[in-house]
Amino acid sequence: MTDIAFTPDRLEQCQKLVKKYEKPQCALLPVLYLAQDQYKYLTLPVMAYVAKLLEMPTGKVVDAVSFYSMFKREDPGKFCFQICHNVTCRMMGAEKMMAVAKEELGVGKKVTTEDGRFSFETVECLGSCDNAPVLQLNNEFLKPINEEGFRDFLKKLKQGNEASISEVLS
Amino acid sequence: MSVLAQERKILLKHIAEPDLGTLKGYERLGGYQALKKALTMAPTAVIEEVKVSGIRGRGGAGFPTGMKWSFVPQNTGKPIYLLCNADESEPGCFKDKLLLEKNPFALLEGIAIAAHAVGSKKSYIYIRGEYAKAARILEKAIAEAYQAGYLGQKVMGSAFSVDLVLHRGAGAYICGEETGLISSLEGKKGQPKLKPPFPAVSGYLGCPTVVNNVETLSTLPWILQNSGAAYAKYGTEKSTGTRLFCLSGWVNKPGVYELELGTPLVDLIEKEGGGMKDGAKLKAVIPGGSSTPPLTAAEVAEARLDFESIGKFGSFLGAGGVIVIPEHVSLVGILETIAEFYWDESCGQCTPCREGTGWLYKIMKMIADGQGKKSDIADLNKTANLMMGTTICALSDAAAMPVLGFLKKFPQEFEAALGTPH
Amino acid sequence: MEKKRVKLTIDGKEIEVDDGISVFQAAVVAGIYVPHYCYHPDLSVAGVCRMCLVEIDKVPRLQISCNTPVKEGMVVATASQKARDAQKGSLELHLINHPLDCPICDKAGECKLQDIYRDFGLYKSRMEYENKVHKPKVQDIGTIMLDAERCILCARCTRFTDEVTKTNELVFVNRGDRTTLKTFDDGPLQNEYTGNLADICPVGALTAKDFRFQQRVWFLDKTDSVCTQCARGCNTQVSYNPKTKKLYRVEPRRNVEVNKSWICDKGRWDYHYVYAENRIKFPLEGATKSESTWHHVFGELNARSMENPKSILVLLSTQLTNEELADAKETLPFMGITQMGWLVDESKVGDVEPYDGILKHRDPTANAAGFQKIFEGAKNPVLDLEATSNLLAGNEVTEVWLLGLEGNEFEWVTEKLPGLLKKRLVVHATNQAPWMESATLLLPNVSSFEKSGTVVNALGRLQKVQQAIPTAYLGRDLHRFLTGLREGGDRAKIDASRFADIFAKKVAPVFLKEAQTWRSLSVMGVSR
Repeated sequence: MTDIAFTPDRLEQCQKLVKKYEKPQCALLPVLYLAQDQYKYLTLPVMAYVAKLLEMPTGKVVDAVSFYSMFKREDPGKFCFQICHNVTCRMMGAEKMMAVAKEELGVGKKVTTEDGRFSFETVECLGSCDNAPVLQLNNEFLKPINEEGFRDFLKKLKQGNEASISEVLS
Repeated sequence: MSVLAQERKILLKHIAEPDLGTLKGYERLGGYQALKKALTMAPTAVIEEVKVSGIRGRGGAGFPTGMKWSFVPQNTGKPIYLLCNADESEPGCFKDKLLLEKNPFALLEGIAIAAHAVGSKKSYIYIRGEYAKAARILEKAIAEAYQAGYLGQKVMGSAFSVDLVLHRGAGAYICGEETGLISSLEGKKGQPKLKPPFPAVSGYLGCPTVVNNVETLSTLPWILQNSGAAYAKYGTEKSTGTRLFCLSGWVNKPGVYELELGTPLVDLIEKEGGGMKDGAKLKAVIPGGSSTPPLTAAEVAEARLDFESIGKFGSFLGAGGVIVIPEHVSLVGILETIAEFYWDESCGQCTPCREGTGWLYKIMKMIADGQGKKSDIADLNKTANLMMGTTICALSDAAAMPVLGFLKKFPQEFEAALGTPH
Repeated sequence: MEKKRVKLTIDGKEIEVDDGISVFQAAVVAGIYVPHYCYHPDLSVAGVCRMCLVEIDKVPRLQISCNTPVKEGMVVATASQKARDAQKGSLELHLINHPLDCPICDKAGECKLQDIYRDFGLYKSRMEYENKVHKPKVQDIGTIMLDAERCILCARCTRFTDEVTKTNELVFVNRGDRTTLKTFDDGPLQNEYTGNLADICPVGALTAKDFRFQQRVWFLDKTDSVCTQCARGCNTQVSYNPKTKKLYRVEPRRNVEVNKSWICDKGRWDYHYVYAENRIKFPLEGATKSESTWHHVFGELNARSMENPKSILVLLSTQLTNEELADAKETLPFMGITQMGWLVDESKVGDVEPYDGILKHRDPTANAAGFQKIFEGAKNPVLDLEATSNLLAGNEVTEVWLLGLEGNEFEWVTEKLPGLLKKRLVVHATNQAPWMESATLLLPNVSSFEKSGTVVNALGRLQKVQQAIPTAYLGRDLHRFLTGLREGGDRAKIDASRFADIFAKKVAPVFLKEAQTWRSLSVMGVSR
């Protein structure tokens, strides 16, 4: 608990955020984003720290965090892929993309690779159905991409070619 | 060529202009003239103008915007909040994202106009967490608008002041429901609140609150600039104006299209969308996002894109998410996907929704896996009926309606699917 | 200000109620039961179980009665076909993921799922599917066992820890049908009112460890009484099995004026001193504490008081009932004993507000307020602690009788009355403490569960303690103790019911404007 604390710049950001709202508690979501940015995922001590900053019971933070899919309780790895598996995306081939990910990374639904670098999760509609099937990497949209393009990209990424990321982001 | 001539468009008229997203470009294209005009008008006059326009909320429920505003009690001693609902999360809908990313200042101008009309000095944009890029664009636009005096103290030199904060959601469909959005903004789970009290009277932190959709608010500058009567000339008598339709699925050119309400649905698919992909045959269309019951091919041929016409076919315009389904795609798989979505997104507080969405999904999954029994169809229907109108918010209905709709309109396909994997 | 009244009709019954209440509450007034799980009169309205759906004339959709305010002229049907169908539908949905482990569930017999299911005719479930949602098995969360699988997510417990104790340890994590009740850190509960969680849980998700698997509830007799563990006087219901002759459970009894629907854990679970090892079972005599008889004790005490009443100081506990005190007030001077003091930690007496903002008072005794009133204007003024202390410092008093001690909270006595242990001591108590070693006579008192009488709480409310279990061992309350002293200790001559006469003649006139008999006094108590 004692070693959990925002970096000075994040603490300043946090204080600025709180001032924008009527009550500290209302800043919960943005402050949790800040915490997740620093710690990658939200553990109980991190949530307790946020609770203290926002003058609210830790229970209420735990309660809220569990409700929102974008708050992570486990390390999502360096490269976290999200694929929409809703109506349009499924119709337009989401399952094929998932198969590619499974072949290349050996991960299925909502799991992380053994080395912890990659994770792959199915998510609900991302509001980009005109580009279906829709993929995101670390919460940023990928350009429309076909199976082979996706496979190539994953191969490059596995080999440590991180420069290839900028080529695929939308 | 567009069905609605480019120069007659309201929301997407300038969408292709490369500098529309900059303040300079927005001003060059006539931006902030409407706010300037609105600030010379009394708030009641602004509300009246919006009432005359006949615009109905573009978030899905279709409630008349002017009327919504007039419910806000003035002089309660409590602050009034205007919340912009940018939590677009209905599967099949992506129009608000386009507006947020390409034309952010129209929204900011619309918010200022609405805040002036309802007497709000503090406004929030609640944007869904997944729209990270849109959030960055908005954040920048808000800063520029503050700097140019379009937000903050004494807007455009008038006596009117309004603060605007961008608030990011974190992945929960139900936060698009207006009271769920309010709960979330209060730093809680995004669980809808009991009504009464209604948000107009007691919303965010117990204060009078108005929640309007991105598209609705982005339309306001045009209405104020060109008059409510001019807006009402678009569309049909009961469904005035234009709307953004999100065309997706098995079409050649999926995308966001602005059409007058009352336009034939076929025009959207054929003329705007370039027709069916690979020349496939149309089987069904989901007209307003995944919660709206489907239309059969025969109904699609007749349907017009307005509240009444779609209503005649037992469905809704919803938030404008038009999903085109070709003959070769299994409706069992589609309905299973829809059922899974609502099961995943039910907030879990009301029993009929929490348990019902789970039940619907489990049965649909069994049918899709080829383990369906005849009684499953009856169970689906009965469960869906138990979920209609029995919960705090409309998610339960949203989950039940497509089940009832698909089973009613495509009974043979579901019966044929019993016992065969999909 | 007069409250506005509203007339409405529920199930054909026309009633008039206060404006602003809900249709559900109006139905309660009309004596109509509407099925419900999440509604609780002392918690905010959650409106989530959807069991109390009713039909209201001119309203197209069914409405939950708990969140629908009454309106003039409203016509409500709580049991129309449409309403019953919806209620049954909600019930059915409640049962889908609920385990069918009633035979081993400790809530059986007082489970609202069972009750309402029975009400709806024990229909056969349509849900033949095996794939229920699986949640964690039973967990130990301190005083309570949590079985998340049985939870129907009514949110009573989470509202309780949010609104009443404000400790927020119980949370619902996740959403949809994966929503699961847990403590936020998987640790134990951290408030002093945890037992209420088991009471308000309508199913077997939260059960009190203390009561778990002790008894099937249908074997228990219940007595309305009042908690005597502090000056609040929370209203209680005490459960007793006449076969085993044992007390098994103390629960709160709703009284909006005093404790709403709650009691603290101390009040609920401290009853174990009744059966504790250190309970004084028989009169004990001398340094060896050898077993004696009441007959012998009365003879001994009478002899001492006749010999030199001025050498005796009697200290009366504020745990004693008004009736016991009124008896002592007359009997002791009659025996020549005029030096009387009260036995209470004065530093804790007099708070009108609970120290924790909920129910707990610092004074751990039940009747300090009644004590003061009974002895108001007495011929021989009762000594306060300081006067008692001074008296003990001198040599005039050689013998002290401490009467009416109950429970284990009298450790402070030797600290605040340092001279005490130098005197010859007679101690009348329920439980033995180390400092009582030196007593020449150790006499068995009864607990508040074993006697009847009235007490006055910190709010000045006269309340009724009623005997819930038979007197254990040879204990005597003070009234029967004094009767023995007066009449020579012949057990057969003691009329235990005479405390009722004392109430009517000596107590009621002191506290009440109108005459009351013991039987006419309401179990809800009377405010001054």
